[in-house]
Amino acid sequence: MWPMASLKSKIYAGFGITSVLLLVNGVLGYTGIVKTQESSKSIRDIHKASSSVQIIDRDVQELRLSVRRFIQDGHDSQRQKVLELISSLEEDIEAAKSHNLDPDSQEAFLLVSEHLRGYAEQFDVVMEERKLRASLVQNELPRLGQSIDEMFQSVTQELSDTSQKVKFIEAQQRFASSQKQLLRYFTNPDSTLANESVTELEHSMRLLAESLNSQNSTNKADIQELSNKLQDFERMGLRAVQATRGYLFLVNVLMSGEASEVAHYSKSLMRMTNKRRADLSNEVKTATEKTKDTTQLGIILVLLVALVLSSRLAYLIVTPISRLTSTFKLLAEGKTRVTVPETNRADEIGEMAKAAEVFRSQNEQTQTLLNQSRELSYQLVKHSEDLKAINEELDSFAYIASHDLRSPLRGISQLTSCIVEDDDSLKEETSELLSLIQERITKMEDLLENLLEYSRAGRVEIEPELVDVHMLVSDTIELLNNPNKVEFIYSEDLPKFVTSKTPFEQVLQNLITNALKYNDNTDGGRIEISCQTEGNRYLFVVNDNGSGISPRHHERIFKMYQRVGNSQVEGSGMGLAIVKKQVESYGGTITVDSDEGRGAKFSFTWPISLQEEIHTTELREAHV
Amino acid sequence: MSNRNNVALLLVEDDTVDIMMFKRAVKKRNLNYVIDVATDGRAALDQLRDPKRSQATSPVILLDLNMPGMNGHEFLEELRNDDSLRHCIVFVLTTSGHVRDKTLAYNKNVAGYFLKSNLDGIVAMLEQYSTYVELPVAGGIQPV
Repeated sequence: MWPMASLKSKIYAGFGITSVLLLVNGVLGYTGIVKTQESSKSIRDIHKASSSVQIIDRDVQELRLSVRRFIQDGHDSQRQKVLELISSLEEDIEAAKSHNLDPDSQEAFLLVSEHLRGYAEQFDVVMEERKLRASLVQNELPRLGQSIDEMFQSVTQELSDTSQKVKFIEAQQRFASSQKQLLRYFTNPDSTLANESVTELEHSMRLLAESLNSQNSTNKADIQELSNKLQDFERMGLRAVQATRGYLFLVNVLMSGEASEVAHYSKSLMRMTNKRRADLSNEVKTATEKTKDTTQLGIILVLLVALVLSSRLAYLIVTPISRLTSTFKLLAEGKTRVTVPETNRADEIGEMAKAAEVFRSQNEQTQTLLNQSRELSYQLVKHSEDLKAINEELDSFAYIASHDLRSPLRGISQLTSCIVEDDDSLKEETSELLSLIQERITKMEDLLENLLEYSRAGRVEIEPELVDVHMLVSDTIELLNNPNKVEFIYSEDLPKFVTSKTPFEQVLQNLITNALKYNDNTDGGRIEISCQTEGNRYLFVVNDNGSGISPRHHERIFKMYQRVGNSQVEGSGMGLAIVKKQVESYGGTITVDSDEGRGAKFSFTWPISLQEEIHTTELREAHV
Repeated sequence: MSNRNNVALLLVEDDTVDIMMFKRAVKKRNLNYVIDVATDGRAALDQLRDPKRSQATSPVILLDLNMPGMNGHEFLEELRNDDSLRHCIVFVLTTSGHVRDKTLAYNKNVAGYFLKSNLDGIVAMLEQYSTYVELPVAGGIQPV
C-alpha cells in the first residue's frame, strides 16, 4: 500500500472505502426496495383495474337481467332498477377508466361508454313503448273491449232478424276471440297470435259491414259506431302489438347487440389488464431478482474489501504495536539491552519507535546515573562509617583520657593531704603553698569531670522515664544558692512527659543555674521558665533579667571551655557546650536572645515523644 | 580460732600512691594485717599459686580493675576458672562506678564492689568483716 502515507490517513482511507461501499450497497438495496414497492403498487393498481372491469362485466349481466324482467313484468320498480343500474354502470365505467390509463383500455372504455349510451337510449324508447303498450293493454283496450261488448249486446238485442242476430253473435264471438288472441299475444308475444287476432277482428268487422247494408237507419248508426269501435280496437291492438314488437326488437336485437359489444369490450379489457398484470409480475420478479443478486454481490464485495483492508492495516499496525508494547514493557522494567523495532518507518508507529529509542537511551542514562549514585552512596556509607569510628574513638578517647588523667591527680591530691596530715610542724607558708596546690588539683579535677561529662553527653542512651518538668524546676531551684532572692516565675502548666530524664535534667538545670549565677541584680532579679508546643517538640525558654550577653559572644559561649562576662562567677565554661551537645543529639536546637544589660533568653527544643528519636537514631545508626 | 587481726590481704593494685594510701588507712586503725601487693593480675595469680606460700587460708583479695597487663576482670576470669583458687574472697576496689564493670565483677561473684574515694570506710568495713567472718580453707575443697 502507499508507503509514504501516515497510518492515520491509511486508516481513514480504509474506513472511507468501506463506508462508501457500504453506502453504495445500501443505496442499491434501497433502490431495489423502492422499485419493488412501485411494482407492488402497480400490481395493486392493475388488480383494482381488473376488478373494476370485472365489476362492469357483472353489472352488464345484471342490467340485461333487469331489463328482461322489466320487459316481462313492466313494473315501475323494475324500470327504476334498470335506470339505476345504467347510471351505476356509467359510474363504474368512469371508475374503471380512471384505473386503466393505458390508451388501449381508454379506447375500449370509450367504446363501452358509447355502446352503453346506445343501450340506454334504446331503453328509453323501450320504456316508452312498454308504457304505451301497458296503458293500451291494461286500460284502453279492455275499456274499449268492454264498451264494444256492451254495444254488441245492445245492438244484438235490437235486431229483429235472427239471421242478423246470428251474424252479430258470430261477430261478437269473433271479437271475443280476437281479444283473447290479443291478450294471449301480450302474455306471450307470438306473431301468429297477433295475426289470428287481427284475422278474427277483420272477420268480425266484415260481418258487421255485411249487416250494415241490410239494416234500417236506426241500427245503422249503432252498427256503424260499433264498426268504428272495432276499427279503433284493431288500431289500438295493432298499435299495442307494434309497440310490443318494437321494444322486443329493441331489447332482443339492438340492446342485446349493444350489451354484447359492451361485454366484448369488457372482456377485451379484462384480457388487457390480465396481460398487464402478468407483465408486471414478471417485471417485479426480475427486478427483485436483480436487486437480490446486486445486493448479494455488493455485500460480498464489501466484505472482501473490508477483509483485505483490515488485514492489511492490522498487519501494518497490530504486529508492530505489539512488538513495540513488549519493547516498552522491557524499557519500563529499566532494561537497556533492548533493540527497538520499527524505527525506520515514516508513519506514526515510526514516531512511537523513535520515542521508544529515546526512552531506551534515557534508561541507559538512568542506569549509568544509578550506578554512579550507588557508587557515591557506597562511598558515603564508608565515609560515614569512618566518621562514626572516628567519633567513637574520640568519645572513648575523651573518656579514657579524662579517666586516666584523673588517676594521677587523685594521687597528687592524696599525697598532698598526707603531707599536711603527717607533719604538724609545717611552716605557715608551707601550709599555704600546699593549700594552693590542693586548690589547683581540685580545679583540674573539675575540668576533667566536665570533659568527661561532655564526652558522655555525646552518647544518646534512650531510657524513657516520666518527667514532671514543674517538679524538676522547683527541685532545682530549691537546691540553688539564691542570696539575692531572685524571683523564679514558672507556670503550673509545665508539661509532664516521657523522655530521657538524665540528659533533659542536665540541660534544664544547667540553664537555670546559669541564669541565677549571672544575675547580678541585687534587687528585683527575675528568672522566667516557660514552655510552648511547636509541632512534635516542646520549646523551653529560660529568660532572665541579668547582665546579658553581647551578641558578638553568642557563638563563643556554646564552645568548650569558653566563659564570658563576669569572671568572678565560678564556672568551668563547659556548661553550655554540654547543653548544646545534649540538645542537638536529641534533634533539637538551642538559641540565645540577649544583649549586654538586657538580660538573656535561652530557648531550646526537645522532642515530645521519643519514638521519633528512637527512629531517627536507628536511621542515623543505620546510615552512619 | 584464728587471730582476726592477722588477716592476710592481697592488694592487687598498680598505683603506688593508692597502695600507700591504703596502707596508711590500715595503719590509722591500728590493724595488724599482713598486706601483700601485686601490681597486676598476672603477678597476683603467681603469688597465689606460689607453693612457697603455705598458709592455712587464702588471703582476702582487694582487686583494682584498671591495671596495665592483666586487668581486674581478666584476673577474676582466671581466678574463678582455677579449682584451687576459685573459693577466694575478692573485694573490688576501683575508681570506676561504671555499671558494666560492676556487672562483670558481680558475675564473677565478688564479695563486694567499692569505690576508692572512701578508703576509710572500706577499711572500717574490713575491720568488722574480718572480726566475724569464717574464712575458707586454703586450696579449696577438692572434688571427691
